[in-house]
Amino acid sequence: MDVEGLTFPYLVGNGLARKTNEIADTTGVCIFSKEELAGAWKSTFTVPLSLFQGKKQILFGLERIEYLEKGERWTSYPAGKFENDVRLNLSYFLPDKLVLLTL
Amino acid sequence: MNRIYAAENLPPPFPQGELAFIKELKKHVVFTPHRDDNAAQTPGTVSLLNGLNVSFTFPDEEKRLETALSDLERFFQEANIPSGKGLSVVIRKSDDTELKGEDFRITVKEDGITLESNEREGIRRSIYRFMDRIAELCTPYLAIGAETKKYWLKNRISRCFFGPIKRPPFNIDELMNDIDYYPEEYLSRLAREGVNGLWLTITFKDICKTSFRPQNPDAARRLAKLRQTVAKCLRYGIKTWAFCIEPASWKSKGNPIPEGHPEMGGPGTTYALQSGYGEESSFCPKSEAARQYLYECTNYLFSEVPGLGGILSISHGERTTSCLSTLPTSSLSGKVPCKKECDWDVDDIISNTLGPMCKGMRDANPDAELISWLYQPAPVQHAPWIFKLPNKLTRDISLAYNFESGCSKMQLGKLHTGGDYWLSCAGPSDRFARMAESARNKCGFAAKLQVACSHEDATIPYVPAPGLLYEKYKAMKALGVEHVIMCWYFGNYPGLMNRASGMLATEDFKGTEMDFLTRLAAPEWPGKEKEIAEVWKLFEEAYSNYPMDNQFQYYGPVHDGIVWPLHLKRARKQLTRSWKPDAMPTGDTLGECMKTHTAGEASLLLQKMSKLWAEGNKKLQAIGKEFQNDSTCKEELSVANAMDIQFATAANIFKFYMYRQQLFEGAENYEEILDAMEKIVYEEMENTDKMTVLCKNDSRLGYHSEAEVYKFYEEKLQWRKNILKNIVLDDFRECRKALASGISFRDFAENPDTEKCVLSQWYENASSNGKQKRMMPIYISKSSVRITTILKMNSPRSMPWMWKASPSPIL
Repeated sequence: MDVEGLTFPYLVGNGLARKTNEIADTTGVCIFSKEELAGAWKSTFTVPLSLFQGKKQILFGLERIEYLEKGERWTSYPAGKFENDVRLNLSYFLPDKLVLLTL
Repeated sequence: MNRIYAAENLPPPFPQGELAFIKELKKHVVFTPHRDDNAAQTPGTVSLLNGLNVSFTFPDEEKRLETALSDLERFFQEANIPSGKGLSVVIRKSDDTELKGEDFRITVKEDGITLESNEREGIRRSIYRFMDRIAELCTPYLAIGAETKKYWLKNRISRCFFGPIKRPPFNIDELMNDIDYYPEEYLSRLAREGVNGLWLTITFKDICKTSFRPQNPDAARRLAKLRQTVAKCLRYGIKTWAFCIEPASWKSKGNPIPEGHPEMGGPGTTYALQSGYGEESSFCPKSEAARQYLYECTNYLFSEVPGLGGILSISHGERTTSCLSTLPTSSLSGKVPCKKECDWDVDDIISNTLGPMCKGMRDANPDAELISWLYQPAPVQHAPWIFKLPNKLTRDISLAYNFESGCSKMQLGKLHTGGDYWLSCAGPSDRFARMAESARNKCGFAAKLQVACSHEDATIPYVPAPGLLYEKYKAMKALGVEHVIMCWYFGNYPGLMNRASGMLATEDFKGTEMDFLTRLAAPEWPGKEKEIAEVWKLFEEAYSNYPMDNQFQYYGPVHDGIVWPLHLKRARKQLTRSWKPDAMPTGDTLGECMKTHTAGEASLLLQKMSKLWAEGNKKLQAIGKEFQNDSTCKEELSVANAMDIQFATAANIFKFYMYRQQLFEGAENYEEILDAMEKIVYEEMENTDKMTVLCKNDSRLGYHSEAEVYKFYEEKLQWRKNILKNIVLDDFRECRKALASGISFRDFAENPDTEKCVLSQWYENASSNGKQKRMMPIYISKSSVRITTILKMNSPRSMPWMWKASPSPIL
């Protein structure tokens, strides 16, 4: 959600990586990639600045779901306690729980 | 800390105990005649002054028409018409074979009146129509002539306004308690309005017995309550429909695949499929065993519950059911992503799922019907595969489709497309029309819409804009629609819109909309029907300005803006969900309720809607002075007043935050703006008081049938007023002082607690087992923002990850 609270918070990406070194075009504008790196997974989510139409700042949040053998693990960024009850079309992204990024 | 969110200032709890409007639904709505019995008789009429002498000869072995006859007798008393003497009224079986189903004829001759039909339910309809004919009289003289009504809309299915939804957070199953959700007077009212079906929720696993798994121990209790409900409703000519999303997906916890039948498991849901583990799998109808299971489920249910009207099952779109559920409506391939790679196309899947269900049902009750509802609500275009679904269905199955999902209209020079339901947009969507075409000559076809109200405003019993229904039903008839599902959990309170729907079921649409509205108004507003029709047209025009944006429906201020605080200081808090029992005060991030509209556009539309509604309401309230003793008129006056306040408040909320934005942007005329904002606060205190008075006198207001709570009620309205008076006005005083001392509005009103830019650790919620702590590197280059995480592999296999990211532009 924007600082002024008047713009709809849009999801820029639903990234999914199932295979090593997979690159996914998530919403037509953002790129999600994952690669194996010394016994770990390195994943990068790239959002073009042009998406923000010259704005100086954005509010940002990220949610990660890992599919493990024991079930799903949900983690979110930034840290904090979020509502678990997902909101239709708005997911978990609560306006007061995002971080401010100066571009 | 924003004071509005301080623990001591939080809203009062939702009202507990029996819902206040249930008392009203249990009461008979008394008829008040508006006749001048001293008027001179005009030629071509018969007089009712000497009374009406009813002779009932229609064969009714099951005595199901007793309720309608009793209603008629009571009506005569209230209408001051002597009964048992005077002009004869014969109610009999017709010898006209052209009258089918509920079709009926009323013939008024000098020597008597005849009500005739070939079927019991046609007689019921004729009795209620006869009551309306008398109700609309301004003199005691009934016009001579014959009136024949033929039904083009067979099943008109609604739902109990306060029936539990059997979903979180309350998870109440109406078949598992002793509450009577169908009081006699409520059913009588629905029957008179033309409703002939009600749906309630069941699941196969809770109620059915099959050879595949043990029966739920509570099934007998559920069946007993269902039998009781079915029998009670049938006395009013109302069938009970078992609503379900069946066959339900298999879940390892709660609904496992029957032992020894792994073939009944289909592909998992999207997430499960992506994970490769799939705790939930869809129902695969490919095997004999699967189809036998479906047959046994419905055959048992309809054998155990005599008279159960039918099944209404969502076959695609909400929750996982057959393997079709794994196929999104956007799929261009139209192929179910199943490892079995069987040769069935989508039409084979749906016909082989519904076919055994229908056969099981009909073998037990040949009159029962099956409606398969494709709930595909998204506004975006769907892939062609959906139109193949009717191809292999048979006439004994009907497909129901959302009437407005995907419909478009221009607002303020922009084209908007709406998903889900829109009472404010006549529709239908292109998609609906195309589905009607696809279903033609293959299977039955039903429209799913919202008769009384929709997600646009679901805290009032109905939106008094019947002209919108006229347009919808006219299109439905032209497209060959045979049945209507009139509501979701909300949109079903008895009253004007139900009555309109009932009348439209026989409308030939040869006249104009105004003709229809005038006829609709006549029984309740005799002598003023033309004026009332004009008011309804104004309401229709007003309501058509509702911002056509699904986010606005779900999160916007129309439902319960009357209990929203007004935040002068930045709260940066979320809007509450209209359809859920959210208890926290609503925040100030209006952007959450606008996906396709700007704040300026929404504000303008709300102002137009409010202005036009107020104009119509003023006229209505003036007419209403002559009808103060009439219960139904009083109900309509109350609804119109409540909506007048709702729209004014919604417009005010938008104006308030538009003004605040100007202050944040450093407007120089800040004193003027603050004055305007403060004026809005005072207006809202007044609106809150007005709504409080309405709520005291009208217990229907504020209740949301999907949230299963009152979204606004006296205590919460009082809470809002106190917040506005004691906190918000205080903030204005503080703000003026601050600005006078040279502090900028931004410095005064910004909320620094929510404006931190930090590189933080991951937060792991309660479901997490791990203790990972990772920093979140974010790189901002000249062209992009890059977010990278590194996660240690703790499993030999590739870990699928799903990300969702949400940045929004600001400043």
